[in-house]
Amino acid sequence: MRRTIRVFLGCAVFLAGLAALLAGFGRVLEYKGSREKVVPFLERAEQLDVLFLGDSHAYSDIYPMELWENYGIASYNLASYNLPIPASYWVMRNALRVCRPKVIVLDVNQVWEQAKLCDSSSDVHTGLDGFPLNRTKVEAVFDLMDDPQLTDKNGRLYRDLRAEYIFPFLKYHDRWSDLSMEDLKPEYGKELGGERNIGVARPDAYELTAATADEQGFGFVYLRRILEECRDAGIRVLLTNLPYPCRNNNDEQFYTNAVAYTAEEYGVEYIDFVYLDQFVDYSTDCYDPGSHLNPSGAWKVTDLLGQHLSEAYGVPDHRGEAAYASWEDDYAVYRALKLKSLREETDPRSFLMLLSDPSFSAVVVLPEDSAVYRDDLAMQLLQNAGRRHLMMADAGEAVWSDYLMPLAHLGEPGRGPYMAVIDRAAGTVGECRGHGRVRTSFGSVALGDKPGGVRVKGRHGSFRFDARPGEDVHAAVLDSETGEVLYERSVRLKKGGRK
Amino acid sequence: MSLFQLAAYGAVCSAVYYLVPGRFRWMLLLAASLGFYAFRATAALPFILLTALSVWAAAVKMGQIAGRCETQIREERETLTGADRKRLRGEARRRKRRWMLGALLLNFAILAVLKYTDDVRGWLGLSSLGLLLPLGISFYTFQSTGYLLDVYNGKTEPERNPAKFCLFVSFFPQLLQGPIGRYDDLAGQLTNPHDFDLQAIKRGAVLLFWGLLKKLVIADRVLPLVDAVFSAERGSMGGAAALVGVLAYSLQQYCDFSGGIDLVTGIAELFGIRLAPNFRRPYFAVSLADFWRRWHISLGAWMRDYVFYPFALTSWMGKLSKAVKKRFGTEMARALPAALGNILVFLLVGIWHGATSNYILWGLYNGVLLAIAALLEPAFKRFGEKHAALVSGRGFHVFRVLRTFAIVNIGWFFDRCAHAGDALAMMRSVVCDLRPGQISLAWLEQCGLPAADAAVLAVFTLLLFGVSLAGEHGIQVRDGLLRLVLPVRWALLYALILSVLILGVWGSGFNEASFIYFQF
Repeated sequence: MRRTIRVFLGCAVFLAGLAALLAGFGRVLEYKGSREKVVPFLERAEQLDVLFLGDSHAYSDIYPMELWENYGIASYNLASYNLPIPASYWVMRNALRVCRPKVIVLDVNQVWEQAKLCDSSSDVHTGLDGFPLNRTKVEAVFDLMDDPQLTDKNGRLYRDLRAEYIFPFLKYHDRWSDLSMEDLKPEYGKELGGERNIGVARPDAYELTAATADEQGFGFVYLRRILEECRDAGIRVLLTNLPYPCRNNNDEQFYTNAVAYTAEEYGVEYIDFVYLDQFVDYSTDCYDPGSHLNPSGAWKVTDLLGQHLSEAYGVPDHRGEAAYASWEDDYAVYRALKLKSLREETDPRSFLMLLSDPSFSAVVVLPEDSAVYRDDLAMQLLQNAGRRHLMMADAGEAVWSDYLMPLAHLGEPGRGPYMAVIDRAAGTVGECRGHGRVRTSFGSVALGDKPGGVRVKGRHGSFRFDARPGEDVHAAVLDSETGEVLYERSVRLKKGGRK
Repeated sequence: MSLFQLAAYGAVCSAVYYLVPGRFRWMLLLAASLGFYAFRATAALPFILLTALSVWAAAVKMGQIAGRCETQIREERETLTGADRKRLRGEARRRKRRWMLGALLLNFAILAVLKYTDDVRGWLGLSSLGLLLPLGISFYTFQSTGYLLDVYNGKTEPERNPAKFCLFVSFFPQLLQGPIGRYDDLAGQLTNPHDFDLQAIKRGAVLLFWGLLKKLVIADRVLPLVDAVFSAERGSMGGAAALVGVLAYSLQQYCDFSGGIDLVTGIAELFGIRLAPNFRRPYFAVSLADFWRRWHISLGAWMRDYVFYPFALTSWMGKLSKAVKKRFGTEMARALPAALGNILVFLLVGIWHGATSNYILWGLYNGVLLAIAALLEPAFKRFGEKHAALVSGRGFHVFRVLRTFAIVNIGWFFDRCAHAGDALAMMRSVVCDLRPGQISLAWLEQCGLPAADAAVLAVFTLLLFGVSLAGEHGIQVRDGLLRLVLPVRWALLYALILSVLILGVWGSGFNEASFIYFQF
């Protein structure tokens, strides 16, 4: 008997050691995309008031850290690429195991999808893998993959892949040849689920239609489930269809139009940004031609949602609360990350697009012979940087407000360099040409002490930078409160322009 | 069912095996085997049952005929003369032969129809019928008919219990690709209960993972390279590429087949059952004959006992031998039956692989070389006696090993190419169009073997070589591993298992390749 126990214990210890090793190796080998999304969520789940769900539109168009900075909203973006509504439903179910938000914002772009899953099995992994293994996750896998016919784009039956979603090691065991140091010691970002897709693309032509399709497919089935379960749990739901250049011959629009009736039936609000086509400017705000916004567009969307969630949904402002002190630290990291993106951006037009960041003030100097004057997109991007976007009081009437902060003299002929100072703390723009001084909320900015030279006098001293000869744009990013120059560079426009 | 599922199935069944009372254990094995077969190939279940029952019935009938004959002789021993006894035994043998031939014909006809109909239709320019080829049909047919012949020859008593015989035919680990078991060796092991023996189970588990490592880490890793080289258009790759390709195939074929055998032998050992060995480090063979005594041993032994000897001992072969003796002497007379027997055996083995020109040529290539070796054996012997110092030296041994390896690899060209013409073209390119500059890391990557995979392949091939070399010198690495102190032993076992799980080519991102011998 004693020997039997010893044998049994020996086997148990050996198997436990093997399981521990597999778990460790599995953690190293797994693709970090999903964990990068979910781990920061789990860390702050109990503090969240708003959850964003949906597919890549929500993922790339909504930045929770901006909501924190500007509205004190504690939110997290759990949207993920190619995630149909049934998968979003299960993401929500997994999320609600650990958090109880006041509002869930669901983007319905994928409501047209008739099946429970898209054909990209990797994207489903990204959406689900990061959640810890528990009953809800297993239920999710079995529910989403119950169709005996449903295959991924490689023709593999989802039913046959279920084990891989429950034990991701089965999928990622072969990543050993792609490992890097980051896999050994992963660091998860502070963007709280949002992703900044940096680039400026020429948008597809779009056309709006009022036509609707009949409600059908799993997209609507699970949309209703989300609405019903949130109603039962006392969670308010805001439905959105985030902006993108949408073709009217595309079924997607018919289905997203039909969502208005579903929303009405359940008494929830539905903001169809596709119809607010003056709210973003697709010519400057698209990351790719037909789907995703770049940061310029996303900042506008995020800002509108921040205002609306605060005013219409009463989402509280937690800034200054001791329990939320870590959010301030996280924002500092996030802000540094944004500056890093500016520094590392090699495409001049994307750099100009990033100057529209509402977190920073900016100084832009154009030499008299700058190629910007002959580049329509660059001129549009500079005007975009100077705009201030505001939503009119009643939602649904969002409009451009470029008359508030126009770069009125940008296109005017004249001698000498042109300078625009975008003071985001005051919400003003100052311009001068040749030489001159612009007064700002943090001090002043002077041009022309010497050719192309700029002197910034802020609250914490003065800073000077000189335009490098032969470049087309000289720009500096400033702290809006103090006027401190955080980063400055000169760029030369290349031919081509867009992605 | 993937290999891991097969291994897990074996592990679970073995756990249940030791939990049920001893007298029911063989029944559990039978249920597990038929369950496995039904799960893998439900439609083919009647075929294996037909083989098992037809052979069982024929053997029982032969046993009854022999028994009645001996009873009659015993009861009438007073009245029967020696000639009467001989006559009675002759009559019984003839009746037994009818049963034996009937069962043999039935089963080989099933095998031939299912296996070769499409090949023959292909020769005639007709479309394929896509006939069902039952899982393991060659292996269980050979195993059953071997038993039938043993009963016919009086070497084995017939099994009375059809269920027990069914277990002998269908024992699930060996259905994939053998080994071809012998009744007198296997039947008792299958039906007698085995006690729980931790050491045997550990040995089995180690062998199981070693088999998985050979199959998944080595064979399936090198597979894309082999496919790329052998599916390339004629002339698009030089001789160096063909050489790399055939060496890669050599490695793949060995690791695939012997890895699979290690896996199923390991699973059988979990039940305390030791299957017949099928490989004994064949690439260390010093001659082609030695190679075939080390490669697919159970098939070689089957062919030797049921084809080679019966053929060599036929009366007309005796007459031929006598005629040759008169003209060419004793040595040639002794060698000739062996030479002709080898040609016949390897022709059959070639056809068994497939009724296509490449396999037939491959079989003939081996058979003719073995025949020549048999005919020249006396000359080799004299050379050995004259140059004893040279022949017994290590250098000559290595030379013989390398020479055999080269001869075997020439044969692999025929084995792997779809057409004999392709094989000849590749061999010609090795001689006339080497283009060694084509071989580079970039080329390997193009052929589906990136640098990281090539490095893993190199490391594990070296490990395999080391383990095989130790085996050649009588060192059993498996036993040595299990005797190490616990921390080292566990560390090595973990390394083995994790190597399979992490570095193995498996999962949905890959097409886990079937065993090469699975198709035969």
